[in-house]
Amino acid sequence: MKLLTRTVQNYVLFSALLLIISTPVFYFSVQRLFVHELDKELVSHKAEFYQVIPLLKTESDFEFFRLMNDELMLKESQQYSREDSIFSATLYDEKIDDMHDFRILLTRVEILGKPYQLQIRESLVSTKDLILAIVGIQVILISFLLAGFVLINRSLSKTVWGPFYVILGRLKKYQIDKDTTIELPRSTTAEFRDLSAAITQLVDRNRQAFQNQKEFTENASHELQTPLAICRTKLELLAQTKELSEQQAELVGSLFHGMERISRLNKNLLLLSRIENRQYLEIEKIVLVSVVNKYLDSYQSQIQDRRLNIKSSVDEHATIQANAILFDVLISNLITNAVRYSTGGGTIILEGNKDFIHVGNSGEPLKDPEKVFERFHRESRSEIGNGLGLSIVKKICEVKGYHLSYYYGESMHHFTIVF
Amino acid sequence: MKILIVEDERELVKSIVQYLRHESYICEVAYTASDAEEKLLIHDYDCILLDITLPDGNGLAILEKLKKARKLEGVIIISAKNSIDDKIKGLNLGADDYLPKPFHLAELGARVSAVIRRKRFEGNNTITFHEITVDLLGKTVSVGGKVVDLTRKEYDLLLFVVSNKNRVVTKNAIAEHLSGDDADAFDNFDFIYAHMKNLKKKLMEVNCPDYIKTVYGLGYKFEA
Repeated sequence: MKLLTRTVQNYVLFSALLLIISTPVFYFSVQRLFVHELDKELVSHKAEFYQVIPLLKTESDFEFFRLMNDELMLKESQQYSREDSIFSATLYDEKIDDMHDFRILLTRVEILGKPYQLQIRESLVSTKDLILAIVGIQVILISFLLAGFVLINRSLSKTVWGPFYVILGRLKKYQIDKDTTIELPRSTTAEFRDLSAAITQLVDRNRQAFQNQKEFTENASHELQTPLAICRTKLELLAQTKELSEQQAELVGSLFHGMERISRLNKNLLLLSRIENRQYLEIEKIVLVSVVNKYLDSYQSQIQDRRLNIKSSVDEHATIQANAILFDVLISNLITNAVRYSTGGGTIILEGNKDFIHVGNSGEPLKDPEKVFERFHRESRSEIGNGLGLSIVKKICEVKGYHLSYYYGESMHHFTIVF
Repeated sequence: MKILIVEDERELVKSIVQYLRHESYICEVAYTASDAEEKLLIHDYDCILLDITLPDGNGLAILEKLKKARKLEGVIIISAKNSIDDKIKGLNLGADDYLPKPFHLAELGARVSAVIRRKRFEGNNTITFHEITVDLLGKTVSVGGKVVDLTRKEYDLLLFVVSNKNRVVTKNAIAEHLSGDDADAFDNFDFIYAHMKNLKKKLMEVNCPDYIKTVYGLGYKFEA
């Protein structure tokens, strides 16, 4: 939910609540005031009437007066009650020929020695009309309020929240392995200034950590190269020893084998950090099919060994502008992976043209398909690879802007790279 | 045959010297660029193994000086800097070969003997070992005058073990030599065994003695 929607939603809820609560409050207070005013009027009418009473000397005066003030209702009454009573009642109104609300004052007066009951009444506004009027006004008021709020918010989100959206955009685009430092806009709003500062600091620290990690990997694998090379050559020399027994020869062989694996791992780590450091920049024209065939040829023995069926349909004229070393690594890793993980007697599909390459190999589905490109991820520890081949493929694609995807279908693993 | 090794890593130099000594090569060593330049002024070498990164200078500078002095002996650049830049620069300046570190000593042995053969026996590029003759230009092998029909891999395999004769060549080194850099990624050397079996069979068919011995668990050895 957007910030604006959320605030407006809250405002709407609050306004509705206010409307529901305030309408009866308004109604009762307006009605009370109104009735109060009417009551005061009724009392003053009564007072006026009292002033008239002493002037009425004869029956005919009284009759005349009654005729002239027909809103006054006078009834002869024997009831003796000096107390005035004021109340509301719905009565028939002959003027509008309908029932109508009235405020009525009943009092007892004595005219020419006779007791009368005096009824003075004032018309009341109908409750329904009053409620309708109040609700109407409230609704208009609140809708104006909301409209105003939305408009103000919208313009605020453009001006006041502007820097926020810029910061957000920059953050989304930021790539720790590509950008050097994050450029955030300067805002006059204190909160955004703090946010920018905090983000810049966070990004800088992260970049530093990332840089250190990268440097460590590179330095460590670089520094390991020489001792590894020395160990390897010494083992090779040990293998030349004349008096080597069969048992010793086997030991040297195992050692040599382990050494090879460490060297390969180290070489791949170094390659990964070099790709990350963007050391492979020279671009040249590469004939796709020649690279593919070179590696198919290299692994011919392994392919025959595993009785793999190769179905290659690579466009023979397709050329690609790329770095030769990285492209070689890319294709060789894909093919190595396919050859290595194909089920024996299985099939490898190779398709490609100037826009894409697709490598498929038969095999069991992966337990963790989303981890297929992760560093050092292997489906099982017993597998022979070092878990770096496909992460190198991924890294090359990242650096070169290729789109890499994996899916499993028809009992085959499919890797596709769109250039 | 004299070889100059220009390399600052002493342990590696020791290994190389020890390995190449078998081939009756005379190895001289220079640990620094200035040391190398001094030696190059005085002597002529059949082959120079040149490291690019030296404590007192760049190995490529030595190569440039050699080119100017027209003493471009068979230079093999050995470099840990696995960058294409060095390779192109080095080969452009006239280096014969480029071998990235880390390398198998057997691979180095094969490259050194190839460089020396090119320099020494121009035009008549053959290796002879008893009744076996390897024609390097025609890429053919004959035993006692009879041509043996070998596949390319079998030919490469034979040449590789012959170039490292009397020394144990490990399966890893053979795999890398035959299938390139990533061959050992398969951790499976059955294919070498198959090639070797076929090669031995073909040589036996023309009554060639079995010079290739299997060193159990390690690799093979070509010896008389």
